[in-house]
Amino acid sequence: MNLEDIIQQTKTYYCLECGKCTSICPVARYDPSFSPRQMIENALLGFGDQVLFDKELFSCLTCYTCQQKCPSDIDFPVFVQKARSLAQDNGQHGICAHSGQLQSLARLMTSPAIKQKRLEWLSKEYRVSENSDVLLWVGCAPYFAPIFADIEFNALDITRATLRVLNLLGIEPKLLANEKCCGHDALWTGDIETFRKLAEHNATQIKEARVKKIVFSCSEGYRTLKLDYPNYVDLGCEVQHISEFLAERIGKNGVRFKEIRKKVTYQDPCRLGRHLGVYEAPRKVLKSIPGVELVEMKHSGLESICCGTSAFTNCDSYSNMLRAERLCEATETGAELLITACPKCQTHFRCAMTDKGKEHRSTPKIEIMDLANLVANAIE
Amino acid sequence: MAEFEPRIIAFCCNWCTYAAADLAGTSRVHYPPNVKIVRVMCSGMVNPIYILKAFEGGVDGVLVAGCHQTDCHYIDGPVKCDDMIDRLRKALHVLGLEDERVRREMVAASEGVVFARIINEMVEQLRKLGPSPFKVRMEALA
Amino acid sequence: MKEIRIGVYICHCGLNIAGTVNVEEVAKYAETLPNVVVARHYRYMCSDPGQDLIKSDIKKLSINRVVVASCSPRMHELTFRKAVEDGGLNPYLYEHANIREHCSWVHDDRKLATNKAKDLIRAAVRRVYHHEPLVIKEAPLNPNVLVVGGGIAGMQAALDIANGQNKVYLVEREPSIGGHMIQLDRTFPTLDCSECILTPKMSDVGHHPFIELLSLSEVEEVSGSIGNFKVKVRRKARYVNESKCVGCGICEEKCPRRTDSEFEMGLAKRGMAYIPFAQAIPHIATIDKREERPCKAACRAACPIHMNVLGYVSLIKEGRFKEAYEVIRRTNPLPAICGRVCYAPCQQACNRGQVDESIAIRELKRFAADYERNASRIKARPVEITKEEKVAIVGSGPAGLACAYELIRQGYPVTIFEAAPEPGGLLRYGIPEYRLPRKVLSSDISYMKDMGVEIKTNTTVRNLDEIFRQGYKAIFLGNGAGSSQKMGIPGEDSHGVLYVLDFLRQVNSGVEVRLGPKVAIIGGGNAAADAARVARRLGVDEVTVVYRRTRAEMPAIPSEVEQMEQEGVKIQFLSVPVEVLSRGNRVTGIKCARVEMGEPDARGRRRIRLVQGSEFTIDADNVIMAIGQSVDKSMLPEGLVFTDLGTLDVDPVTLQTNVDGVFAGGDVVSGPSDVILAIAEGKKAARSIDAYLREEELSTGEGGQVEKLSEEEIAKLKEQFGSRKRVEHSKPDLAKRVRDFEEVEQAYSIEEAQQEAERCLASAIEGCFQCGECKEACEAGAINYDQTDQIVELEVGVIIVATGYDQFDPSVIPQYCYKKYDNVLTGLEFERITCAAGPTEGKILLNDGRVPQSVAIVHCVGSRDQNYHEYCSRVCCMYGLKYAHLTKEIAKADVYEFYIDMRCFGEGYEEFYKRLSEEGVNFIRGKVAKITDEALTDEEKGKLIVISEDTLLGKMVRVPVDMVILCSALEARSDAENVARIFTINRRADGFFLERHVKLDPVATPTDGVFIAGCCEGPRDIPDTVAQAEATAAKALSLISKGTVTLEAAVSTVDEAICHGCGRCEEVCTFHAPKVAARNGTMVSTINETLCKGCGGCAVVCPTGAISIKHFTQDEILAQVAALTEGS
Repeated sequence: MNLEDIIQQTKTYYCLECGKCTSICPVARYDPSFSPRQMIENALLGFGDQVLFDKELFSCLTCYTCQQKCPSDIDFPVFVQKARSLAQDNGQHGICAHSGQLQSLARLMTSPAIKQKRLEWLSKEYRVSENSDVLLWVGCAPYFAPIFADIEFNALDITRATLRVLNLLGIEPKLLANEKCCGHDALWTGDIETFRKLAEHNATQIKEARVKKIVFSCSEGYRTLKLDYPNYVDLGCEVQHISEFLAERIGKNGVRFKEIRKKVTYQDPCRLGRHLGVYEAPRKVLKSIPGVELVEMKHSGLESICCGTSAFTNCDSYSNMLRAERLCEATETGAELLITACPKCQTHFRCAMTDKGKEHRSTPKIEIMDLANLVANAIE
Repeated sequence: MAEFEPRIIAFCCNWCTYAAADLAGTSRVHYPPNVKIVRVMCSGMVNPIYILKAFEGGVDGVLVAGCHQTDCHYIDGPVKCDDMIDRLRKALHVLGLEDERVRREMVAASEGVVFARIINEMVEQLRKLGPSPFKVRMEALA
Repeated sequence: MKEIRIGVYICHCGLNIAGTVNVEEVAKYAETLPNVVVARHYRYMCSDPGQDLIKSDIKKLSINRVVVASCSPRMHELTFRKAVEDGGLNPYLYEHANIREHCSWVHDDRKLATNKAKDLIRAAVRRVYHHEPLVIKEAPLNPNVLVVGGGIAGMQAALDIANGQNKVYLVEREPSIGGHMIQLDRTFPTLDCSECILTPKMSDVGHHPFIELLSLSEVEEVSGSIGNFKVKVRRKARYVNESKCVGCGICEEKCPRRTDSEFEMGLAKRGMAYIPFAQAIPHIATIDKREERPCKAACRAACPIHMNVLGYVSLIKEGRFKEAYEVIRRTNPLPAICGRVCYAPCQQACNRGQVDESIAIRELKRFAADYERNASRIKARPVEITKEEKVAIVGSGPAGLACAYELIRQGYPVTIFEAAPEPGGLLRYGIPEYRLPRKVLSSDISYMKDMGVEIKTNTTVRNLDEIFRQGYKAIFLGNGAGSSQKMGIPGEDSHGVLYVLDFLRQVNSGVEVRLGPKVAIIGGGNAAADAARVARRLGVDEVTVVYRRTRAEMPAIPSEVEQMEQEGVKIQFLSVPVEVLSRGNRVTGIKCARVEMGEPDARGRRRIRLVQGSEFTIDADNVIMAIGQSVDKSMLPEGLVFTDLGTLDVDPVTLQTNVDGVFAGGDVVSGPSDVILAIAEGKKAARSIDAYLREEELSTGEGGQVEKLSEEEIAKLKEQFGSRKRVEHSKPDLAKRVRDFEEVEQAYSIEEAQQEAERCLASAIEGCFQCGECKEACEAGAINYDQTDQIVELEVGVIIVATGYDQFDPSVIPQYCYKKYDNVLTGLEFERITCAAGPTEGKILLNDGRVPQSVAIVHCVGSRDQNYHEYCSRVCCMYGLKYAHLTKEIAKADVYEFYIDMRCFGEGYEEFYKRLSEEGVNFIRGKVAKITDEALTDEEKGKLIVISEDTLLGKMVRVPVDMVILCSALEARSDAENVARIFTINRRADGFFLERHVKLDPVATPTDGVFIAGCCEGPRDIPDTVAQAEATAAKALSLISKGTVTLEAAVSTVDEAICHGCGRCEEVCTFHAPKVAARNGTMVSTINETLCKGCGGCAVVCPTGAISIKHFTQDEILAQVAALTEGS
């Protein structure tokens, strides 16, 4: 595959060079040298190298803000995704955050011989069942937990909360002992090879599991299995985000919430929001908790701003400014609690809020929590 | 096929363990050639990615060795190193990697013999343990 | 990007490598590697021809990266970097592969070794591909040096460096330099006295033009790095002006307080103002002020002669009565008298009075004076008369005596002219015996005679010129106010009316006075009270005092009034006599009238108004008029001017009368008043007479404000000291009291006095309490209680730490009973004992003063002992031997030396050991198990028994001795940890500082530019210490002569476009190299390259990948790793 193919696949030749994309691109707002329009133009003009060897290629958040406004309906994120895979072939992989550990772990995970110990966190208090027709997707939480210990964030808390919620709803889901990373980051950094291996592995695992539905507490996993897997593998079952899963059941078969007096605001994860158009479900869940007052940020829903990094690449000062901006919006609402529905959002926001050193950046601080955790506290 | 020979990469701090390896040499203390040393200035300099990439490359074990707490040329490098190793181990544990494959040692410049002993032990252990689970996928490093 | 052309060079190292590794094969292989232009192998790459290969390839084949595979980079990396540089490349475009130590020498399988060599070279080639040229930066080095610690090590280093004409700051925490060595008596094995060899060095340091000595100072903070350290030093307040102090030591002599001398190991005392020892450098005093005085010392300020109350009270508290008396004597000529009759304004002002009850200062003063008199320790030494000008003093009352006292102490010949047959004036003729016993009076007066004051009694002075004619240059008139005033009422001249002074004079001079059974006394002053109480004692049953105002206005000392009433005297207040009634010119009584108080007048004194028709009568056989005294002009010489009050008119400042050279003071000037005020005037007059005779301007004497405690202070003190009432002392019962003239006020017992003295707030604190004794004594005016700690900032390029050691405290070893038994000593204590300048002047004495017959010396106390210190203290064996020798020499005692091993490793040490063996010392091999005083046999009685096994004979021994010397270990300073932190030095497990390399870098530390010398690095003897000190000096001097410091080139850098400024790097760095700060709007981290050591810790924690270490970048190391994972 070459850039020309990509242009064909993504129909970028429809580009009118109107520049809407750049003008609303959150990255471009801070990083003057980043321009989707320019990138497409370079591609169209055949300046392949200028696209592939430009470090900015890995700065795109693939947040789909631009695509929403594009008069030619060009799927820039997918363009970027494919361009990145080309770049990878040329030894380009952007500046990997956390020195590339997470990408490396994903690659290591592809090896068939490994015997993961990914469910050791699962304690007696939780009920799971081998022959359930609901599967709970655990994702990378067990790996994030140790790596992000220094920002007091344990992704497994979200998984536990989700599992607890399901249990309280009388559901004993199935968990996969040999599930692997969904490959989201590999895919979006252009490491198709790794993505494919992971996808195939997971597909077989899921098939063998014979489940009707997979529930996600991770928006990226959700997006990946819902939109990307079908291009490579067939899952043969329904997938659903926990927010949707709950939204369906609220009011029905006895979901009771106890009162939680809190003013909260909600961060739409790019994947759940613009990628999948799930805006209402999480809000419905929040509103249904008595005492919870939901206040929207300046930008929300379709307009909402990304947490600043997607696949752990080019987590640079610009993406950090973006985070800071978003946290400002969150605090300006006067909310005590920032709710997210994606472990990544939480990772990045928490990171930004744990500044060390003598002279601090004045990043606004706000308590942050996953939807699942709030619900888990509210139920019963 | 020939008996399995583990491959080991050792990250050794310039001041203590690398010197210990030198001492092993000057005093002709033999050990198997399975180990190859990467010289770093301090064990606190070893980045988790170095270890991960080593495994991606198909090594069977990694040794991270440096000064004892009190000898560190940079005062507290070993502390930083321990912290890093500790977190990485947890992640690798989830991946199902045997703990023996990542070894953390403190070897003073005067402990050439100790260095040789550690290598011998490690090679023995890994021979028993067999190839790294990651080895099965062989692909050139990005 | 420029094409990468790599040259690979494989060294045979003779057969060292080639013997095991197939170098030809490796070279061939290397040539196949990407970017490798040439690969050669050569017998000795490190040789010149070897290096030339590289240089010529750089030129001919224009290679721009070089890999050498040979021995360890720790051996030759620099050699080849140099070669590369000479070849015209940047030295960092070089990578080294270690195929000898890490390959050929540790493997024997030729095939495997060869493969490994290939791997290592492949890795090096991959890595060198990524190498970037680095600039080696030089920073200028500040040639000033900081030396911390003024012991022998610090001094030696400082001198060596300063002699090279470089500025040295020597910081010493103690008041003087000298360290432990100056405490030593003699030094082994040569036995030359350490004072003799050290004091010259000390004074060199003290006077060296290039050494700035900061004694009594401590380093608080060090920032910066080699070449440019910034050092914060706390100069502790000395309370002595260093430039003014001349080191005369008078302050210590005068200081009323004493504490253990650190220098003498507590075997002697020192003052709170002190110079630690005779040869101290700097030779200036230090005041050991530890806390602020809780009270304001109002007593001192309130006293008209500003007596040092705090001083003598605290001395009494400590039971040092003689010194207390001397302190009193210094300001007060009549201690015993003032101890009785003074109205004690000090007591009224005493700050403790605000808390609960004031200190009984007068009683304490009296106690000290009486105690000394009873102990007949009061001896006045005749004063040497140094001046010609004779001074005449008229009147021997308190004023005259005080004036004489002050003048004679200044060396003036003084003569007192007294009209009465006995000296003392009103003290003798006015104050009755029961208040002031004659023996007390005479002792204070005879003290003055003993000093050399001439007293001519029965001599009335009428003509001043006549006195001058006799050669007197100045005259003081202290005639007093000796005549009673008349009342001027009808019948006053009738028989039986007496005037108080005549009455008292007669009684006091032993003339029998007959009184009737009823006596009325007119007046309310002390004289009236005296008269009344005397009357009672003369057997009068009914004594009535008639006073015109109320009790509140009574001028008499309240305690007097109280006692008078106790003794049955009636008082008629608000009554004035209007007529003396008489029958046949014989008094029968007085007619009085009631009065009432009117409004206060201008002087605040309330007028009184007669109440019409309120007359009443008091029967009396005698009436004693005590309504006041006035100056008796008839007794005074002619030609003097008087005020309209009838007193002498004098200049208020100089007390000079209208006649030149004639001064006056006391009652004759101020009218009737108090003893202490008279004394004050006498002293004042003395000062102006002295000024007059020396023809100088008179300086107005010391003042002093009476300060009160604030409410908060009072509350705080109540909290702190609780309430404790004054110690009362017994009085004889009334019945007995009124029968004789026995003294009424009883003196405090020793216990009572000390208890009462304990109540003094000032002496409740440790250290100096600013009594001012030293300040007054210091002629240089160097004392300054208000000094505060100063922080000085030094800028230096090199630091030498020589903070020495602490002596191990053996009291933690219970079985050795140190501190439990008197004659168990530590090494340093024994050093002081044998020192000729020490507490025993070099005599070896037991604490009961006997000379010991036998002495045991115990080795390895706290050393070579898992329970305390595992290490050997290295000097104990030798000083143990030294003690043995000295004990033999000085005390001629038997010596038993208990040792484990004799470690006599130094120059002349073994010989010394041999010599001692010949001197007949008993060497017993065995660690002492126990020291006890439980005797089993008679010969053990009263001895210390040292129990041990004689391991050579294999039997237990009990050795009874008089004295035991414990050779206690040397241990790391108790605050070594903090010092290590300040200078970023590592410490060994035993707490001593760790050198960079025990053999090859013995005085360096991990921190460049910081060196260590002497016992802070571990126990060592003087020669080793000096050698080390000189080593550090050499290190410093070589740095200085180079003038610049080479900065680490392989340091970390920040990609500011990526950095968030999250600060994790700043948090993790031990050397404070990264600093997060705002850069055009955003926070970014920047690396201070002079501080960065290139350890790489920051790069690991950096979440974004913004930080990388030059020459150890991720790309470089990952390339190397990748290469190693390939192939075999």
